[in-house]
Amino acid sequence: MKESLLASWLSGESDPKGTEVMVQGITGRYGRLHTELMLSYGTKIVAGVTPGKGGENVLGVPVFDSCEEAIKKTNAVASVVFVPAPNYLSAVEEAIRAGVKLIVGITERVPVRDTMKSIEEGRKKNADLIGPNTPGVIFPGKIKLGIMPVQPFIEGDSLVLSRSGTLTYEISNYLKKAGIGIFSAIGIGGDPINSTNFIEALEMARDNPRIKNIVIIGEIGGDAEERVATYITETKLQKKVVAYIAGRSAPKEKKMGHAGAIIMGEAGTVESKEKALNRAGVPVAKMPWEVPSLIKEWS
Amino acid sequence: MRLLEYQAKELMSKFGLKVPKGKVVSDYNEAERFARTIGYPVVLKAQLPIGGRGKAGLIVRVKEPEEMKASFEKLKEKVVSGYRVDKVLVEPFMAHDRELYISFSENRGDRCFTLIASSSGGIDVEEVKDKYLANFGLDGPSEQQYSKAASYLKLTSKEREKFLSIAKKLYSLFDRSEAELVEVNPLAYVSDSNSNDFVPLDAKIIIDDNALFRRPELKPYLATDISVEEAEKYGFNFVPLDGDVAVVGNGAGLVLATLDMVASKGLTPACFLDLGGGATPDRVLAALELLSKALPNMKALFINVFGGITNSVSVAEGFLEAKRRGLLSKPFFIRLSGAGEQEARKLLEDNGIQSHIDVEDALDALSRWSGKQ
Repeated sequence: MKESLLASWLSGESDPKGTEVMVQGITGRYGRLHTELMLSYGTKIVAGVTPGKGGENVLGVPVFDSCEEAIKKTNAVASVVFVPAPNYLSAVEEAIRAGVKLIVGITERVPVRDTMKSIEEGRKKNADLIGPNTPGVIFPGKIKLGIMPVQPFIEGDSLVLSRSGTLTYEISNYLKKAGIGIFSAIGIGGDPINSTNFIEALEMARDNPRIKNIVIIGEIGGDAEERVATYITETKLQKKVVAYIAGRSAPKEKKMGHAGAIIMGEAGTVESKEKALNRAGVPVAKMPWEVPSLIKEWS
Repeated sequence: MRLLEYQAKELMSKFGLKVPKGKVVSDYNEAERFARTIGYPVVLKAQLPIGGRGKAGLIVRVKEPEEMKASFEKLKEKVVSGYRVDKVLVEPFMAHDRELYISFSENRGDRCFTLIASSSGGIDVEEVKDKYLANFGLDGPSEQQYSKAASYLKLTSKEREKFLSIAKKLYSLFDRSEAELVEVNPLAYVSDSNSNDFVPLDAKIIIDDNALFRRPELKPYLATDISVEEAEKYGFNFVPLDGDVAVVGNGAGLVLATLDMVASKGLTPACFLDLGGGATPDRVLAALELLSKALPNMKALFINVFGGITNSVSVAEGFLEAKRRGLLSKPFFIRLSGAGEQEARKLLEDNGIQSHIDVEDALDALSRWSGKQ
């Protein structure tokens, strides 16, 4: 994990506050809206990138034609990507080539082979990728790189890792009501393949003494939650971990909204995930509002 | 997108694979005519996008012309997992002595692809211990991996050559169609007077929906559920289900969780409808319009919106407009929370619509209603 920007934030080695950020696809309606919301949260957005729109500005943020140019003129080290799915891979590759160290892919509906290719490229240059199909990352009170509403997120000592956007907001809101704050909430993405997965995020955060609780928000499909269970047991993770998994009543073989939320045969059911997590000592909430009490009662 | 068997075989044949000479039909006369041209015995295979068709009685062998009418009609009457049998694939029955298994699939956990081969074809591969697995990346399996797969199957040198050729064609299909899964189970070794080769008796292909924008040749295989298509136009995610209570919300995870909440009250969801980002008045209205058309038999409506960036008031305005247009004729339960939630609730209340800020309250109201039914 050498030189990983995300790892240094999650481990507590460095503070994300004040990190310089660029927005790819800043001139689109969506990119502009969320640039405004991120700026108002205090995220230091220093550059926007939209090919062909160099020289313009959005809300006072200068727009460049390429990431390379943006990096020459500013100190951006992170990027939030809002480009349409067909342009996602080239946008991410461009950011990686230009030396961006953390790329948050908000873009939905990215072909899985493009995600895989972008992961390969990221590894070569030690760039962290999150997403695609994610609401992004928030370190409450420090930085917001994404599209989440800010009201549910108060500063605290929990790490929330999630495959879903609105469920993250909903559960964070229940945590807030119970007086439990958040160190960081990361949407790993709703796709079958996530550029940073649960385990990688856990590995980065495991030695951070500021993080006391970990909330895993999973859903049907794949075996990411089962892998979390194995990871906790094998590495003897010394933190309170609780989980909620959506899709108990979902039918088999039907994609439930997220590309990754599909039960194939017997694989990917809530029962399988719950059993594995319970065995690893992780209590699993049946309903989203039960998460705070699971944390409080954890033993 | 999961292709039906006949579509999967059609695609395989475009990639140079030899498939059984079959025909997909909808009515008996067509089936009977085709069966006569290929000769009995034939196999009738209901074209439904589900696994375990053999066990469900959706695949029937017909030995003689006299059995054809009864077998065909019985098959057409079947309803399995909510699917009616519309199309039936008629194929010659192919005698064979060995069944293998081969698949290429997306490996989510390891973030790569996996080649699986087994000499125990015909059964669920999950249950098979004896199989060869090899992970590979975007460049495809290596020569060595193909070769190991073939060796694992203990083939004669002649069979081996044929198997390798088929495996590579299947991979080419997997790669160029951007599939999530290409599975042949069983891959039968058929040796009779006119052929000596591996033949895919069944075929399962799942295409990455997100790649369809650059695979126009696959568009004809898209399922044509009109309500799902209409939902797509608005950017909704709509999955019709077979229960009573329509479930609508914003965000896939939240809607999925809401299905569970509704089910926990002993009720069954009639659909999954994710409004997607920005639940604006227009979108709320469009969703309710869609439901009134697509789900005429729904008994109630449960709406769970967690308004973050969208103001709840604008969502409430969508409901008022829907009410004005008579789209809220069934009992409905609304949870609306987030920015402007109090104002939104008051606005609805002033117009005679009760709503809730807490989802548990909305659920209780739903539960009380169902208790009275």
